[in-house]
Amino acid sequence: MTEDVILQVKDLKTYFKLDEGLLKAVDGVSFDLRKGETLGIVGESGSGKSVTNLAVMKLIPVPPGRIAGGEVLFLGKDLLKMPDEEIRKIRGNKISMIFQDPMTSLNPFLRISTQMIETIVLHQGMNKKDAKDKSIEMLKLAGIPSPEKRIDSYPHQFSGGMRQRVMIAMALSCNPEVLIADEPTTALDVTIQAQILELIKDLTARLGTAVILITHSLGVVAGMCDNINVMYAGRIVERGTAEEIFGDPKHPYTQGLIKSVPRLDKATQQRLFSIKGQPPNVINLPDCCPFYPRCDKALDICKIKYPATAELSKGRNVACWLYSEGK
Amino acid sequence: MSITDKNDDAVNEFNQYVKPVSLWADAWRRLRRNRMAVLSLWVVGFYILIALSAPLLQSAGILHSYTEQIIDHQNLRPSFRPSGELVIELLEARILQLEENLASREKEEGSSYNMATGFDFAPAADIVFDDDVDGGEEPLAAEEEPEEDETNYSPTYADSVVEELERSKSEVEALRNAIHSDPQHSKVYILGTDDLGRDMLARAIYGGRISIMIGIVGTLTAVLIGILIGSISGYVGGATDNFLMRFVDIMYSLPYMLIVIIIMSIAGNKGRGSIIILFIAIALISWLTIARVVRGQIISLKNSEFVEAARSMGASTPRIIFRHLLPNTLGVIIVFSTLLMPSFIMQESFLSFLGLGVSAPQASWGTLVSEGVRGMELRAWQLFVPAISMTVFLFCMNFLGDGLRDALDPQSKNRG
Repeated sequence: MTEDVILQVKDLKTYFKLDEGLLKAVDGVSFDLRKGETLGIVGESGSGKSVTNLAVMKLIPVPPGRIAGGEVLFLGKDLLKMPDEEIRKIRGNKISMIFQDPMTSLNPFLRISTQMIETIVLHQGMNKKDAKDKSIEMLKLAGIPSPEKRIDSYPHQFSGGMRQRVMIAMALSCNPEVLIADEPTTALDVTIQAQILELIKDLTARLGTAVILITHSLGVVAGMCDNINVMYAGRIVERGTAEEIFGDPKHPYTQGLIKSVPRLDKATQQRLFSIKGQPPNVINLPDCCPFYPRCDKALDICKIKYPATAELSKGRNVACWLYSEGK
Repeated sequence: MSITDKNDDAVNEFNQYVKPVSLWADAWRRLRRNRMAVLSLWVVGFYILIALSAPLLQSAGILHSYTEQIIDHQNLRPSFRPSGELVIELLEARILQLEENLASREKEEGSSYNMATGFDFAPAADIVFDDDVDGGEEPLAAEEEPEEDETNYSPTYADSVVEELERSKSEVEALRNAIHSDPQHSKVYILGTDDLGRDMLARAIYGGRISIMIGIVGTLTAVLIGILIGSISGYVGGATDNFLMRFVDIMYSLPYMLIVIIIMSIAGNKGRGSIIILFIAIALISWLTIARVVRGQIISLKNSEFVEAARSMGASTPRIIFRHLLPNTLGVIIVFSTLLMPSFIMQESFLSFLGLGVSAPQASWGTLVSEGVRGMELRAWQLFVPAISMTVFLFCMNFLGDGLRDALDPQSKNRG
């Protein structure tokens, strides 16, 4: 199992020092990513999904941010201990990212060609002409019509969906091992969402790229991911395969999340379920289960101590006192 | 966007022709719609063209030398006629006056003392003198007291007038003979001459050369230093930012003109009038605002997603600053520079006016104006020629700056 793990995150902690106190955005997250796997990270806003992945790339703004502990092993090497010079060779080359808002993640002043060629030349050592050919090829793969002509356009001449395609083409242009897609479809409308997800799925399968898909949309992960991590307040509360998570959710939070998805096959008269309350403010959070105020199965111990992660079966974990021993 | 069949043009999903339009092309299109800005652009271009080609024009004989002093051609008024004719005209007018003087003096002995004070080489002063002769009571009242001196002075005065009359007559004769043989007298001074007989047009153009050069070089230096300091300060942030910005604050709190004047006077003994010292003095302080503006822009941009995307693609810090951030701030910088340039020219003129700027034989619009002010009442063209040249240029630069601001800012409400 371990031999084809390409990215291993161990007990990653990322804190932000704010005036109000210490914000533990990511507090001990661990996961493995295997070659060609698609891993979903699901959670509400502010649960630390994006910060986890920025920390993996060592892109956390320092200060106020600080990677307080843990390891990120990429092919056995700890990214967090790498000097900037080296990690720049990995960013965009071995691990690349797609961002949430395609409208703002392309530099408005530079042609698409300039931006794509820049990355390829930087990492692949190609000359500009080859890099341009490669870019055109990637754009074609990403479904841009007549890319050899449109490559010299500026970002504002593309629609949102097209820009996201350009971003995907750019992110995959160096054949990375890992693609981190940070809510790639949130800013797009529904028809385009499906196309873009299909594109990511198709391209990464073809290129053998592992994907970390960050999203708050359960529908997206259900169709895309092999494995799913559910995050809450900076920690992973449940993990398992897509079937396990959707078929047999264990953690009350996961259950709540799944229940709150509107479904066409259920009675339409019924009020849509929602999890009561707000996700907690993770500044100076006591060592309790951060979900207990909203949890309808809360036990007394939930208020006192964070539950240890219980391994139900291989790769199937849940952090809840309902399943932990020694409650 | 229009539907076409052109094969080599970019098309979108629907095979519609899409021309790659850069933001620059877009801004240029907006600028062209602004008539005043386009006019200003032409005028500024014309100024710069003339300034650049001035030595060529001079060697081609179109423009007179700006340093050559012709004593005969002092203070000629603007005219399209050859200078020889103008000089003869002036001398003849003078002769006429002198003769009138003599005649009126013989008629009316009493006003001699006043004539003595009115003794002047300037033609306009003679008009004043004439007024005195015609004017009734005042001169008469003044002449009562110095009655006894009159006998001592009047023969000398009469002699000198006669002497001058003779000299002028012979000069006119000499000129009449020389006017066709000596090419100097066929020169045309469209905008007149100054008090040393130098062509005002050439002086205004060469003055403009210096002024525009100071404007451009000063702006470039200020922009370069400002961009460097501002972008580092903004992007790195933290203690570096704090240190640099407090330094800027301190520099800001010092009175600007005072410092420039002090620098100019310290350098005074060796470098008075040296343009380089002037550049240094002006550029030393003027980068402050640019640095702040750039810093603000960088700070607002550095957290934008495309910068994060660039970082996630493995771009290095200098690359992000110079490739991704600065092009995005360039609009603001350009607008600021076009508005900075006139202010440099103004400052230089101000210093030159105070006598701390450019000095002879070089001239700038500022020195020309300060020279012109001295004889403003008699020879207005010596003030107006450089003053109007400068004003028109500054006016156009400001209009251009405004136009550029509207063109480069897509959110601008004034866009045409």
